[in-house]
Amino acid sequence: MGHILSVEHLTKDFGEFRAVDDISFSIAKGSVVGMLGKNGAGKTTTIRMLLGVTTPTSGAISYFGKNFNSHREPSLQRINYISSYNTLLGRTSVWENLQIYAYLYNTQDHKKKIDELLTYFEVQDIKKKIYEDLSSGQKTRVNLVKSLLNDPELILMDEPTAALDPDIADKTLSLIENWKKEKNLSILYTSHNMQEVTRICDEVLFLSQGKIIEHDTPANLAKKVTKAQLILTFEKDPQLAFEYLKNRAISYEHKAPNQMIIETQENEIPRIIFDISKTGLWMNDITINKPTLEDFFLQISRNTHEIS
Amino acid sequence: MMRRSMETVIDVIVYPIMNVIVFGFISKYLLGSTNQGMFLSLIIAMLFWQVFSTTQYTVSVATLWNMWSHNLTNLFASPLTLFEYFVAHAITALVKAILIFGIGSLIAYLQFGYSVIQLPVLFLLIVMINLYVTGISIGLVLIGFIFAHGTRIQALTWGFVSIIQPLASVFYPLSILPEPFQSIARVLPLTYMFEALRQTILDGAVLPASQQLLISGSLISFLYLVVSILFFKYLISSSRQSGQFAKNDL
Repeated sequence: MGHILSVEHLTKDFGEFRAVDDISFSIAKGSVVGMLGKNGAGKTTTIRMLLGVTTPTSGAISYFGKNFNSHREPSLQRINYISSYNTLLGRTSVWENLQIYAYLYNTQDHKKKIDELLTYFEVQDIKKKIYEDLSSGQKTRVNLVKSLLNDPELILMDEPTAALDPDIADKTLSLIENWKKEKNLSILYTSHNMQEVTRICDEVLFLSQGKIIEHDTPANLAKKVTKAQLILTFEKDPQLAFEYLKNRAISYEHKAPNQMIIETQENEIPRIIFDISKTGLWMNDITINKPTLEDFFLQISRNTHEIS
Repeated sequence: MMRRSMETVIDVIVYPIMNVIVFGFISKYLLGSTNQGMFLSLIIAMLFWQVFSTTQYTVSVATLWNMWSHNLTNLFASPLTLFEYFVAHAITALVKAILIFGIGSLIAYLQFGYSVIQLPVLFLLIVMINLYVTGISIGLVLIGFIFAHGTRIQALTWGFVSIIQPLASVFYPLSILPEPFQSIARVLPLTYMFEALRQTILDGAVLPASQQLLISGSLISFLYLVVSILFFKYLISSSRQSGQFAKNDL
């Protein structure tokens, strides 16, 4: 499968500070790649270099097999961009803004196209409104319309739902997912919302101090956090269970009556449950909180070195 | 955008027209009955000054509107080239400058009885083109500085005309300026245009001295345009290197 985007040894220095450090990755057609990392990890600088608004110190960017530097306009004609931080002209109507971008992207039959997209994203009724008078949710949807005007093969999405409440964010995400399926779109997606990334991304690049330190599927990254949480609720005072855990030097918390919270390796959980059940204690409830991408993010961010 | 942006309407339409009207009345009050030629040269200078200031303002402030709207990255993430972006603003500036000049000329004719078409058409065109080109050149450099250094220097876009106006001998002969300032004025194409304008109004014809001023001013205007384009490209490049280009949008 041909790559839509290839990044090779991309580096960006701002004076003495290295914001992006020799990163390489590619995006295949139809795949959604998430880019994660805490603030200052280099995500936004990478996106800006991919858009050509910041010049890399070294390295190469290629879209559709052609060098971006020497094929800027043809490349940008086939991709698009959306960010919650970049909006459209505030004092211009939704329709006028979209017309401007339709002209810039040379969209054929642009009035029909704009109408179709406004209808798809359920914002047809606001097309005559002034952009700055819209709510955050409406602005995001109009920005999405703008990002699809040229039928892009790749969209760079920089925290597109950051300004939205969970309900609107969920709906917006569903619209993106549906559109992606229908059009076989490729997406580079940055977000601080791990659930979003787990939901829509096929693979995740994890950036720290400008470097890609992990590159895997969301599920595989979550598996790299080996500790899980086991919550056991007993019928009566679980004294025998405390003794068992003490003997095996397994740490636990006892916050509620007849309940214990055990932090342990995920693969130890079946054995712990089996051993405690052998003591004759009756368990009313067993809850296992498996590691998620968010746990992985927190672990990396806190630099706990607990990755297997 | 004009009808929704009172600032633009005031800055680009109301101020220039009010300047022509107020300046006309003051000139008439001070000189009208004693020195008709001087009176007219002041009104006409104010009228032509609007061509330069409207052009420079329009070219520069258009970029600020995009920055204030956080729209700049969206624009330059599209296939739009810097050249196209610049040409679009230059065309807008030309339309606005012609509009202001037209309205101002009408006021000058109706209120003060002077028609600009009394000036030779070629002379009129040369002066206007030079003022427009100089407005474009200075506007371009100002945008370049804003791209490179951010909106903290945005006041220059509307304040620069106040700095350059006294130096360009718009309303008085170059000889009035103290010597160090005359040297600065001689490198401004505006100075040559307004000197030529004044002389032509007073002489009643485009005499060889005015022709020479037009030639010198035109050459300097062209030089300004070339240098400003090169400098603009350099400032944009350094802005993209430093990351300020994208930061301007936040």
